[in-house]
Amino acid sequence: MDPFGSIRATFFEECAELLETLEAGLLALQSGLEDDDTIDAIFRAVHSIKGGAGAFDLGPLVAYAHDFENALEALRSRAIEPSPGVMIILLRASDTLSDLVTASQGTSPPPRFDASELARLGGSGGDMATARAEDPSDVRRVRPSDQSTSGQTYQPSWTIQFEPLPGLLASGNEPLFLFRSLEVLGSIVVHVIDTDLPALDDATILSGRLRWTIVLRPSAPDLTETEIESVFEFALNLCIINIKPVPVADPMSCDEADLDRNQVSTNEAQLSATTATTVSTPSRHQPSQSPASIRVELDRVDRLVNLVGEIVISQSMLAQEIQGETYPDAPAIRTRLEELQQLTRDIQDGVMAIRAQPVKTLFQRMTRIIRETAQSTGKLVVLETSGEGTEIDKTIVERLADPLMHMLRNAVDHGIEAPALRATLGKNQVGTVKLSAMQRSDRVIIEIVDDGAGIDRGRVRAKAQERGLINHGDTHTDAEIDNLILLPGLSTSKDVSAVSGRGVGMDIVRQAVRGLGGTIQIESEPGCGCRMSVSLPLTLAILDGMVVRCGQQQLILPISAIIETRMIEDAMIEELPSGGKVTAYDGKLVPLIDLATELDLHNACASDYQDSAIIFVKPDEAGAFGLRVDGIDAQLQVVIKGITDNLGHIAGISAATILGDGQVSLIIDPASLRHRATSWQPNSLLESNRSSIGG
Amino acid sequence: MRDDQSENDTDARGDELLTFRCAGQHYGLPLVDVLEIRGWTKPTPVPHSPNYLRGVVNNRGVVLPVIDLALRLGLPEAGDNPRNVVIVVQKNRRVLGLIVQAVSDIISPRLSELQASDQFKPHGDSLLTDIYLADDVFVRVVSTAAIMLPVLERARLA
Repeated sequence: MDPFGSIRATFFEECAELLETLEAGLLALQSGLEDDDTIDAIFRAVHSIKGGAGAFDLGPLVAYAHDFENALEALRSRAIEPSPGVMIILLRASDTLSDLVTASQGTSPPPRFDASELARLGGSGGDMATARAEDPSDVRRVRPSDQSTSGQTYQPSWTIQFEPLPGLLASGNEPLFLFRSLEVLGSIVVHVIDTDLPALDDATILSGRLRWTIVLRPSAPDLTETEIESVFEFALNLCIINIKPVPVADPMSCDEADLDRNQVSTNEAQLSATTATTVSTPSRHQPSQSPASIRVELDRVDRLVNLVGEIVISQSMLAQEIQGETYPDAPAIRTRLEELQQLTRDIQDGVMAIRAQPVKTLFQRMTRIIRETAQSTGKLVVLETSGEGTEIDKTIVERLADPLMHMLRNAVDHGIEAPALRATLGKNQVGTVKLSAMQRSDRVIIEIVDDGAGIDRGRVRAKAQERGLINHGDTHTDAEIDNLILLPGLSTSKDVSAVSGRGVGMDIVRQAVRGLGGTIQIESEPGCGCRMSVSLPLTLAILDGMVVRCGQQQLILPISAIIETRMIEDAMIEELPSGGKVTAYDGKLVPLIDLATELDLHNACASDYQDSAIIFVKPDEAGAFGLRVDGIDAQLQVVIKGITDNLGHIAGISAATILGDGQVSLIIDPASLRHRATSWQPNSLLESNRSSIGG
Repeated sequence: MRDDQSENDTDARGDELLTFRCAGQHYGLPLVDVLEIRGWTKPTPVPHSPNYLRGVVNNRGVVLPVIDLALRLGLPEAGDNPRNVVIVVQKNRRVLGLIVQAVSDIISPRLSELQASDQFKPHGDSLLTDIYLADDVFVRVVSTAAIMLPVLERARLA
């Protein structure tokens, strides 16, 4: 059991955040926002990663981060300018850094990269040193000219000679900690004196033979010797300290050799560091500008969500019990119950908000996908994002990453044309892919719009016929052809590239979206581009539903989809020659679906229409329809229980819930219901449905 | 010496089985697959399902699909009898409830009691894995995986 296991995990979590900051900063620079704060933030991010990596002895990561730092330093000191070419190299470097971090976790092989790019950038500014010594292990030469620009050092400076006695390390003290504490007082330059080191055979770990001389330039002019001494207060008897003021501030130019040795020794010191240091390294160098937050294990939040769900169910049961009885205090009890329901609602909202994450991080990852795909397909593409602040449940964010990646890859690979072709078509050589997220009542809509060639319907139809998915001679609407690309095995690309072409991508997208309880819609205009809309539920757990009756059975219809309800006698129903029914809504004819017939429920519902109602449902952009039910019973908040794990996907049903009387009630999926009732299904889907039912 | 050995072999026991009655006959299930045994409650029907899938029931907060095992085996249905029993089996993190008439016992039949099931399998029925003749009773051992297969297949296609 790795004693540093949990610290490593923390380090990698923080790396993830730092890498985000890094990429965001680089992107900002690339889009023209050149300010010192951004550059500083970028620098700090790489520096922190390097520091932590050093503590964990992750050699390749440290080396690359170091090169990266040099390049960034060149940028900061204006030795190089953030030109488009430079920015591309830096962005690629941040991708490589991210890959190296992942490889260091041991979960993937080390990436291949071209180290010379960064080295070239860094070399042009590599000689410049920073006046701020940010880390004793990373001391640079201090140049005389930098003294005046540092602006924060005052005379006099102090020379501290520090020699630990044998007991120092054993007592838990650490020269590195002490130097860091000194650093709080001002800038320091540390020299190690290792002339007393015995031969390796004679050396013992526990008795150090290193001495240090530290030159401290205090940032406050009135620093006293006592204050400096107080840094060493825990080690007073365990070391020899000599503090002397230096009368005149000499530009200290130290030996390269001393510096190197110093780096080596403090690296050793770092390796023996205990938990406190390694955790404090990143936070020290990362002044946080975000609001105070804490890290919570996801398990705890999940447990909380489940408990809140159970409270909602209990409440329903309570409400149901009370409804039947006549208590002397009935109105008061009902009022209290309503208050309770309101409070529960608030808790529920609060708990769901904990799990909600803005899609920003997800979208940021996508910029890299676009970069890589564009590069490997030789296209010029820019990604525009909007609505990054839209929040969705954390699990949805994670499960959305793969489908989004596939859709974006497709957009670049199949949608956007090659630059030369675009030029001849009168389009901008650089294609645009727009990724947006927005919230609409209780759903989140994520859209990917590209300005490429759109879907080549001719080829899709031909390929589908070739695969036997559709029959020759059938006529289909444009929309139907467009949606064929969601079927497995359908790919119209001539070559199988590493990016796409195996005909697998869009099927994965369809399944993933369905698994999240969402729907996906494709619109395409040849020559202009393609729009893919994914509609997802906002929360996975709790739903506002209307309890409808179908014979003996009660089912739940999500309220968000309902636009109007009407008693059957008030509705105008027409039968079509094909056997389907339509009804009038808002001056238009919409399909009328009979819930009992459509769901093919074994306990056939009464077909007398007396108590029946028609509920007008509009689950998404695709259009409204009427749903005939035997009766409407109540409005309830229900906890969604998944069924796909054990039962698979059932057309027309999204999930189940447990009602107040303990019975399971199915939750209707209106979009899927309409799809099955009104549209034509390609051969493959029909086959698969039949085989699974036949058993 | 050899006689001793062979005697040991025939005395060897197979896996533990949960025996139960279904459509009047005796069946057995590997005990390792059994999660729990519970009473029968009226299931909520599920649309577009095969006739043996009776629906879903609330099993302590989990939505559990239940099938009529008799129908699944091609025998007369068990129907909605409140005295029926549901055996909850689990395979690969998927659960399924099997409606049966009654649960009998837990046995560890001797391998010597094993009758070669190939001869007795009607119509190449692959749901049966073994048949034991234990205490003068034929116990047909069914394969949990095979019983769950269509339901599992459907979940995979989802």
